[in-house]
Amino acid sequence: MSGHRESQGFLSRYVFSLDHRVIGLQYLMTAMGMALVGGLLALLVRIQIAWPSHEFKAVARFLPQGFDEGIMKPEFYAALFTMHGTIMIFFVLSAALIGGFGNYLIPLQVGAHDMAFPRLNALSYWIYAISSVVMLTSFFTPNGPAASGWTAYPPLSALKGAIAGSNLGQDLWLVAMALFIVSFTLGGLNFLATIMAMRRPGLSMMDLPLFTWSMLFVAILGLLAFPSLTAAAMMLLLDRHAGTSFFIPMGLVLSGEAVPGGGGSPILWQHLFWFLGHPEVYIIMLPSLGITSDLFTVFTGRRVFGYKSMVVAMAFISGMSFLVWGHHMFVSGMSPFLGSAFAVTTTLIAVPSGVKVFNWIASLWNRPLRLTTPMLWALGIFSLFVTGGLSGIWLGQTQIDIQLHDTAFVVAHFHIIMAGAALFGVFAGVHYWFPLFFGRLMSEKLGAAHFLLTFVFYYATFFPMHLAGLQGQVRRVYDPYQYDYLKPLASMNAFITWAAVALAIAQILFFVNFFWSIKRGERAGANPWQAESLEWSEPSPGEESA
Amino acid sequence: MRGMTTAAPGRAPAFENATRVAVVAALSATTMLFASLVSAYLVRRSFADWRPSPAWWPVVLLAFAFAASAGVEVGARGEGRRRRLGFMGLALASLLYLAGALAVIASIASGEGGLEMPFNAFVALLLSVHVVHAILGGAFSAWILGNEGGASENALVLARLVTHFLTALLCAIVFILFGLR
Repeated sequence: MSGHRESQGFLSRYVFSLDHRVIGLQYLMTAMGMALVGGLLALLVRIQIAWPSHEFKAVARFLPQGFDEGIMKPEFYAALFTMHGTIMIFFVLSAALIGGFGNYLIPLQVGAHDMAFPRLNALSYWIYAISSVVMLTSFFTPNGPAASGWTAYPPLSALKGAIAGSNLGQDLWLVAMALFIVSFTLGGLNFLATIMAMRRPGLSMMDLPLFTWSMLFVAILGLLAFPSLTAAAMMLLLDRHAGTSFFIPMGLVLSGEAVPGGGGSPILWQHLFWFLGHPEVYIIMLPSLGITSDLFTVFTGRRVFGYKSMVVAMAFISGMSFLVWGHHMFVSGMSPFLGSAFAVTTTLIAVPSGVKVFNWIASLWNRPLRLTTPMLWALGIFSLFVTGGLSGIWLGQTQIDIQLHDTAFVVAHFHIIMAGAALFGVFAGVHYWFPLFFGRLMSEKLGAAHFLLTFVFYYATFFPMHLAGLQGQVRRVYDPYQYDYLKPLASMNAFITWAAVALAIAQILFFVNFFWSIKRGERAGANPWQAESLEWSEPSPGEESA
Repeated sequence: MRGMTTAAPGRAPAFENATRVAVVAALSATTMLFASLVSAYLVRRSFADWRPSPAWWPVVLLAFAFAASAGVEVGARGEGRRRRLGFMGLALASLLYLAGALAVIASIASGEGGLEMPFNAFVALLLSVHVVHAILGGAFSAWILGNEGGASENALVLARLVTHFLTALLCAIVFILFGLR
């Protein structure tokens, strides 16, 4: 039970709190705010793809720097998809699932007083908050935010004159990411120390919920993978400001003038970036997979099938995630032998993923299911994990990936398996642990409606992108219809954009349900889901005040 | 148990274990940071401007690092005056290392090829990152000396671990930069 709540003022209790529960909610709320920004950027990207030459005077009035007589500027479009990817992956999904749920639940699930290092925990949140502000600030710089993609590939990101966003916006991107990594590292140290060393006496690792196991693996992944991006970011900053040439190749010409320096390698950045980038996929996904397993335990009334094999599968996925980064670089000119090795390691990840899927089927088989809202979201994660996993096997093969690389097929794949499964995990977790957070239940009717609409429109948005990709639609292109062979895809792209708009509108239900239920939701009482994990033995906020 | 005043008595063993886990995890992350930087160097070292030129400074910096290791060893094993002497040695070695590394970086930046030459830039980057650890060593010594040599056994064990790890790290860096052919 947390011990930081006694007789504190508003600021020390809710703003500069050391209580892991308050810090968890701070992460969750900040991530929700960032999700609004990231989601809005996604809609603007989709609108541009569907109707590239249409005049949007009303939108242009709010974003004058991004439009020219109502038509979106190409550099603004590049900034939109760059910032959408960065914000959603790091500042929304990582922050909500790991910072939010992790901070709130780990001490409760291991029976600890608090995190091992509460001050470090608070520092971690505030660094994350500052990094979010820095990232958002870049929208207000004279040349706009970074525009080199969320992968920040050089030389676009290394040369200040390459594109409008390559200027101050790119610097702020790098600074924000560096701060985010510091925050994540501090959080990871805390998670690891708390789970390994602060467990209640008698509570063995094999008694822990799979969510806590997922947090352990996520902490290890973050601690070992993020330093690679730190190293790359330092080198990139030096290339930009200290005259070094880690990533700037020889003989580069920009706007008719030779770029000084040279001798570096842009491919080097790709290796360093993807050494983080692929584990980051699992950093986002593992918590959702852990939540799904735990919810299957609660809502089928029986411990998830193959608990130990689930732990081993997560460990295997985590370990293998360090050996597959090259599959993002099949078209970079790598040796075909090396490409084959990366294809094999990538395909091997299908084995533990298959173990998880079959264990989930066995868990659901012939059991009375309680189809509550959290369970619906868990089933949604199951569906997305299978759908996205299957297209992942395609993309893991060099022969197929070379055809599909940088097409809408890839966009469909990672939005379904990584972004979708993680996003559904956030919704599952919020609905399930809401009584623990606020002592009340969220509305089941609104929750079910939100799930059904989100599930349908999520697939309606992203599944057709597989088809567009197979027909050759490349991603990140400002105006796809400048190519004749893509003109027949205009109606499909319009459909996808309308589905994305509907998906966005459906999220209003969630926000209404969330904020309405904080004050007016049905009182939850103790353990409303009849769960057996340790966090439900804690009194909820409502019970505490009573 | 000095230096552990924030931990409640019943919580202390768990807190000490947590501190050890956190320090080992932090060193693992540090290892990965240097591994990333060094692997970047290794894949580029066949190019002419990524090759090292002979230099004297690695010997001097290694000597300071070994002196820091010796200082923490003497300080952690000893009591009273011997402990203070050991940690004063660590503080002095850290300070000399810091000054030496900064002098090397300045000399590289203004020397032949400057920071535009990838090898020079790489050395400057590695030393800049490693210098942070010298600052930590100096700060820890100052804390111990400020507490009149008082520190928990756990803190001393961790100080030794961190210092020796960083010395080993510097040895590995110097070997990779100048020893590999």
